[in-house]
Formats: sequence, C-alpha cells, structure tokens
Amino acid sequence: MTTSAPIGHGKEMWMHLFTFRLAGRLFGVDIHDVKEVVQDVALTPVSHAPPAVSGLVAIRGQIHLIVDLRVIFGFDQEPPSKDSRLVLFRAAVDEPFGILVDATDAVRVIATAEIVDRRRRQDRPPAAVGDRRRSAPDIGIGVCPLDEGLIVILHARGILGALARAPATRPDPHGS
Amino acid sequence: MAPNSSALDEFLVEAKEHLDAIEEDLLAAGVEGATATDEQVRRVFRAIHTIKGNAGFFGFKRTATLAHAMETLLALARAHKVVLGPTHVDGLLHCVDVLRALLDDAETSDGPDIAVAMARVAALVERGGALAGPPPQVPTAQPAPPLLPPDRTVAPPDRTAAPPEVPVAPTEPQDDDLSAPAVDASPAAQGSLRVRLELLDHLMMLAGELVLVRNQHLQHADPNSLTERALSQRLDALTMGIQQTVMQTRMQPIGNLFGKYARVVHDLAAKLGKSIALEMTGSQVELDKTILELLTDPLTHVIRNSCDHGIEPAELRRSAGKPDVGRITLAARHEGSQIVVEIADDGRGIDVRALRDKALSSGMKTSADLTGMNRNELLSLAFLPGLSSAGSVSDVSGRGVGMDVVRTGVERLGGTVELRSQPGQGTVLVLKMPLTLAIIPSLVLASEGRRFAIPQANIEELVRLYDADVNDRIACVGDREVCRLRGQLVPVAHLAEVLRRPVPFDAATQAEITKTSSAARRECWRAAEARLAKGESSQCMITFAILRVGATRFALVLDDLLGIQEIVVKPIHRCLKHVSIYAGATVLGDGQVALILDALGLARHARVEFDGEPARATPHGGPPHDHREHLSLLLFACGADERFGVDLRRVRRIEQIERRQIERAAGQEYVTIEGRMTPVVRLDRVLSVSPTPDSDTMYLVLVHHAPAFGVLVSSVIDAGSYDLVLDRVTMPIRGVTASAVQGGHMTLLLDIDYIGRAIPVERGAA
Repeated sequence: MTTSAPIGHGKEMWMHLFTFRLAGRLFGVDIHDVKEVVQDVALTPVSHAPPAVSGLVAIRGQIHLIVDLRVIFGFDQEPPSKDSRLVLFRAAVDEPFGILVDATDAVRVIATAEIVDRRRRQDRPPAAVGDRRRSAPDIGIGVCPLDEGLIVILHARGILGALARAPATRPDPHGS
Repeated sequence: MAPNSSALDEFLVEAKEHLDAIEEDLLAAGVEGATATDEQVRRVFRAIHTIKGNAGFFGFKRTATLAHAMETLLALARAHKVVLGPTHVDGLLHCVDVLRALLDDAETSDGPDIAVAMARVAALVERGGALAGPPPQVPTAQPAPPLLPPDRTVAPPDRTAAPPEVPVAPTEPQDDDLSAPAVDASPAAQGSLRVRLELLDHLMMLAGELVLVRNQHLQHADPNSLTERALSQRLDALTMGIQQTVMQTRMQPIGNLFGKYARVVHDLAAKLGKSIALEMTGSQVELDKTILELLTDPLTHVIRNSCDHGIEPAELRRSAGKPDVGRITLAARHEGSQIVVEIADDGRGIDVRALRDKALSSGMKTSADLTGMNRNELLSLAFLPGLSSAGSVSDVSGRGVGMDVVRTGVERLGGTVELRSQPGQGTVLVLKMPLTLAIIPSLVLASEGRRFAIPQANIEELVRLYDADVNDRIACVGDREVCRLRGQLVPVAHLAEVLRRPVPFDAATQAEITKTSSAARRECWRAAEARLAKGESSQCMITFAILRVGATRFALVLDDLLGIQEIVVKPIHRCLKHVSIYAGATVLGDGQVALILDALGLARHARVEFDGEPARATPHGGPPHDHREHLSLLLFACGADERFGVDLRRVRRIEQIERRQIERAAGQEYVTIEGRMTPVVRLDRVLSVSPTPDSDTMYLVLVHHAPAFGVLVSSVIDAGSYDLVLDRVTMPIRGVTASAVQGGHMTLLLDIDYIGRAIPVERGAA
C-alpha cells in the first residue's frame, strides 16, 4: 500500500468521506480522490478482462475502466437500478477508472481518531465487509462506526490493484 | 546539485542533440575516407565547446573535462596542426559515447570512467602535436589547455576547464567561430519552442475529442436550418484544421532515425572488417513519432543484415568488379498517404536457391509448394519465421529471426514490406507505412451485439457466403475449420468464440468449436433449403473478414459489418494490457467505446497460427506434420477401377458428349468442338489402366495443351482444393506424376504433357 493513504489527508484530525451504498453496506472513499459522479451511461463490456471489470465508458473523451466492487468483495450480483451511479476517480489516483455503486449517500466528515485501522489489527475484520475479505486485501483502510452502522473506508489507489487479485470465480465462503 | 531542474533538463536534452550532431559530422568525415572538412571541424568544435561550457555551469566536472580534452584535439585540427583521419574520428566517437553515458547518468554522480577516453584523446593530441612541431599554442582565447596525462585526468578537474563564472558558454564572444551561434542546428534558431510531450499528447486527445463532438453535432444538427448548417460546416472545417495541425506537431523527420544508423553501420563495418558507406536521402520526410519509434528495431535488423550478409568483404567485391566500399542507401519519400522507406545495399543479393533449399530441408515448404514459384515468391520465403539465407550464424545477425520480425513489425503498424534482390547486384527492402497511427481507417463490425474495430490495414477482403456456399465453401479438416477461397484454404476463427473464451484455444476447444459450428452451418442450410423450397428468402449467410498479419492469414467470422470509419486510437487501459486480442480502444460517433481488435492476438488466441506459420489444413487421420501438398484438382473416373486427378489449372473446360459424336479417322478418335476436330484420348490407350467403357453420355475434359485434345471420362467426381499426401513411389506408371488417397479412393494424378505427347497425331487427318 502506498504511503499516501488519505488518513489525515489535509487536516490531521478530520477526513472528508464521500460515502455510497453497495449491497446494503455503507462505504466511503476520500472525497479528494473523487472526480465526478455520473449516471445513465452505457458500458462497453470487455471480453477476457478480469471478472471485476464491468466495462469501459467514455466520459468527456476519456475512456474509463469501470470496476465492479461486488465482484472484488464477493457480493452477489444485482442488476443496476435507477439509483445506480458511476463514481469516477481523479487522474492523480490512477489511470482513468471508476466504480459502480448502488446509490450515492453523502459527504461525511469523520474524525480520524474514530477510524479503526484494520491494517494494524491481527484479529478478524469487521462483519461489514463480509466473510470474504480474503479477496480484498489492500483496498480497505479501516472502518468507522456511525450511528447507523459501520462505514468501510476504501482506498481508491488500491482498487485497480485488487482487480488482478480478485478471484475468477465466486470466492470460497469459508475463506479467512 | 542543479541550480534549476528545468534548466538542467534543457541542458541535457540540448547536449544530447549536440552529441548527435557531432556524431553525424564525425561519421561523415570518417566515411569520406579522407579527412574532415574545415566546416565539419568547426561545427564539431562549436558543439563540444557549448557542451563543455554548460557542463561546467551545471557542475558536471567529468563531462566538462572530457569535452575540454576533445576540444583541445579539435582546436589543433581547426588550426590545421592535426588532420582528422579515421583514428581521430574513432577516438572522438569513443569520447562521444562516454559523454552520452555521462549525461545519461547526470543525476547520479557515478557515471562511467573517463580515463580511457581521456588517454585516447591525449595520445592523439600528443601525436598531432609532435607532427606539428613544438606543442601548439592553441590559437583560441581559451586558457591554454594543459595536456593532462591520462592518470591525472580523473583527479579533481581543472577549474579552467569549466569556468563557472561564464554561465552561458555559447555567447562567449572571444572567438570568431564561437560568436557564430553554436546552436545553429538547435530549434531555437528556427523560431520554434520545446513543448513537453505530455502536453502534445493531451492536445491530441482533445483534438480527437473535438472530432467526436463534431460527429455528434452533425448527427443532431437540423439540416433544414441555414444557420445551423453554416455553423456545422465551420465547426467541421475548424475541427479538421485543428486535428491536422495537432497531428503535424507529432511529426518528426525520419532523419532523426536515419542518423542513428550512421553509427550502427560505422561500428559494424569496423567489427566485420568491411568498409561500408551509408547514404541517406529524404531525411526531412516526416513521420508520426510513434511510428518512428516502432520502426527503430525493424530497421536496425535490416541494416545489420545488409552489413553482415549483404555487403561482401572487399576482396570478393573487387573480384566481382565492384568498388571496395560497400554502399547502403536509406531513402524515404511520400507516396500518397503513405511513407515509403527503402533500404538498399549493393552486396551479393539473396541466394534464392539457398532459401529454397532451406525452406525444403526445414520442412516449412514442400517441393510441390516450391515448384512453380517465381523469383519473387521464392524471395518472400525470407519472411518465413526461422528461415535465414545466411550460410553462417554470426553474432551480428543470421539467427533466423529477423525478416519475419521486420515484416510482422511493419504490418502491425499497418504497413507492407517488399523484398527485391538480384544475385550479385544487391538487395532492396521497401517498407510502406501510414503517416500516422493516431487516426486510422478501420472496419467497424458487430459480434455478439457489440461493436469492434479492426484497422483496415489488416483486412485483405470481406466475404459473405450465401446458402449452399455456407455449407460447401467451409469445410472441416481435422479439428479445425477452413474456408475455400479461390483455390486456397484459409483457417477460420469465430470472433464470438474468441470473445467467449478467455483462455487461448487448445486442440480440444478447437474441436468442440468446429463441431458446433459445422452442425450450426448444416442446420442453417437445411432450414434455408426448406424456406427456399417454399419460395421464401433463405436467410442463410455467413460474413467474414480475411485478415492478414505477418505470415498469418485467416478468416474471422463475425455477425455484421457496420462500415469503414476513421477512428481515433486510444491506448488500452493498463489493467487490460495483458489481454492480447485488443490493440486499443476508440470512441465511436455515438460516444460509446469500441475495442480495437489486434489481428495477431486474435490469430494466436484462436490458434490459427503456430509459431508465426499459418496453420496448414490437415484432413482426418495421419499425424499433422506429414508432408501434405495443397493441390487444386479435377477428379474423375474413366474405367471401373481407377480414379484420376488433373491439375485444375490445366483444365480448359468439360464438355458433355454422346457416343455418336465420336468420329474415327486414321485410327484416332475425334470430336468436333467449336468447329475443330479435337483428338479424344482414352487413357487406357496411353497408360496401363483399365479401359474406359463406352456409354451414351460421356465427358470430354479439354485441357490446356497444344495441340488441343480432350480426355474421355465416364464421370466427373469433383473439383476443388485438396491437401494430399503424394506418393511418387508406389505407382511408377509413365504419365502419372503421383498417386494419393483422396476420400478413401486411390487417385492417380495425370501428367498432361506426357499424354499429349503420346497421342499419335496426324494433323492432316481431317
């Protein structure tokens, strides 16, 4: 993982999270990594691509690779709804790419002190990420408990790296 | 270390340009065999002086020291105290290499050692000085450069070598020569400016984007509104203008590339002990930067080949009546929207017979393949992977990879390669390439409801088969499908199957695909027949593109053709780079992304190509590597026992005749065809085969032969292309060239010329 993990990005004490919903769970990414949110675009599927690649889409002339986090996390597939969106990341994060989300949520400011950095924990991860964490090694930063549940904080820079590691088939439900 | 990193970058770039220019001048001086001209010496001196000054300013001490030593030698040459001959040129070139390495390592302080280069130059200076009498007082206003003994040169450098108090060396006004702009070759002198490459790439992307916006606008503009139409037209014209201008910025003179080869040739000639002159024309011809870069390796291959195998040693050249100095010519020119690059040498040429023998002995071609090949076709054998005409393998070239790499490389760029060679006269290789890769005409096609693009350069032809042809023209041989196209068998790949299967095909996959596909074809034709019987349209058809890349040619079956479009090529995302079937991506007029297919990647994935060699069709049974020959035959039967085959090219036509049409004269049978008495040959009369039984209806196979004759045949079985194992031993009958088993029957291949000679002709009989 890169050293530029966005914990304490800008201000030391607070983190601005762009949050979204995926498979009934709440996720967040550092808002500084997000370029834009788009809806209603037709993806071009890519044969032979890693299974977590949903396809390609051209936004303002740039071709973006769209990643399906459901595959990376091993969640069940669901057809897109009217709330589905594409979250595109800034060029500074990686080559143009974005992720599919079920719905956008909000921009939340959380205290970095509240983030449980799971990288420092040896025990089992929080339930919010499900039992299949094995397939998502480097993209999570930590979790942050809120009143309505946990936010899983993702590291945008780790998403493309997780593509290659995502299993070609459904992951083993008894995985660590 | 550096005062300012962008100034440093500029220095490094400029210094390298100067080194290129120096190298060019030095090589030119060396090639002339004689000595450097005053002008060349002055130019080299000025460039070295600039490097020295700037290096000193930036604190590159060793660079400055070495440049200073070179300058000393050049100063002597300029003052005519030393005449720059080949030894000096070699020594200076060596220094140029060391300087280049020093500049490459500018960021780190541990560059290469300059001691050896210093020693070489110092020795040359001393020798020159001795010749010129007393040590020269260099007539420049430079502080007299002390000639450092080699062992001292790596010691802390002489501060005078790089006076930091004179930051801008080129403007040093002390010397007449130096007051002339030392950077006369640099772009600054021509009113131009350095632009960062990523800026240009971005501009290029924006221009491409503008093209798309224009396309979309044209689709939506109201054709009835005058103002909108006028606006559209202006937008259109401006877009094209911007696009072309941006493309222009990416163009670089091919001379940048050619220049590199002067050194390659110089070094190789020295290594091989030959003397070779390199001539370049059309260096100003401009080419897209990407193409230029991709062309570097193939051209190096070709030039190495020419030096090593093309140009003969001097004594051989002399005995052949050629000048001692071998000549390699590099020429570039425009031809329509293409660039033509010719690499010619006046060496020994390619030994076609050796190529032929090699192809035969390596089993790449059979003797049947080779007979009837003309010189050009034989020459093209040189492009077969793994085939080298070179008698020996040297470390320079001749490893048997080379020409196929050249061809594949150029064809991947959408270009073509042509080889011409006359024994004893030399070899010419002609490369034709598109001007640019960024926007290329492509075929847009559909498969599985998705759109793809294939560069037009890869497409040989588009074919659509209907109805019975669907069943007849595509056949299964072994576990693969082939398409019969004008007497040639072309392996078939289904785009849909390739897309569906991420793992490259193995034999089992291929067999499975072949099975389902041929069943589908039969079903399609059966349904079509039923519909046709009812008077409806058949709706049975199959569309494919014949693709060629390198030595590989195959038919790609697709769903639909959507037309040819100019597409803006965008590189594929880094996460998809490993997927071999794509060459890039593009955005179509409606804003959707389409993937650009890579013909070579498809061929490899679908296994229509092995090791660069196109798959040969192999029928059922028999190991796949026995010697099959590909023949176009007319098959027929005469007597009860044998079946015969005749080369289809020898068949003029087939005439149905009745027994009563056969007339006899002077013991020979004739049939009147088109008012002419045509001899009828019964095979049992000329060959020892079973007699042809008479029946009311028979066929006369009229052949190309003078005088004309026809072979009497009781039934025609088939005509087409066959891959057969020929047996020339088992049936040693005169008039039969070989025998083969076709469709479970013994088939004798007839020698038409023998039969023609065997007819007891009395021309005046009629």
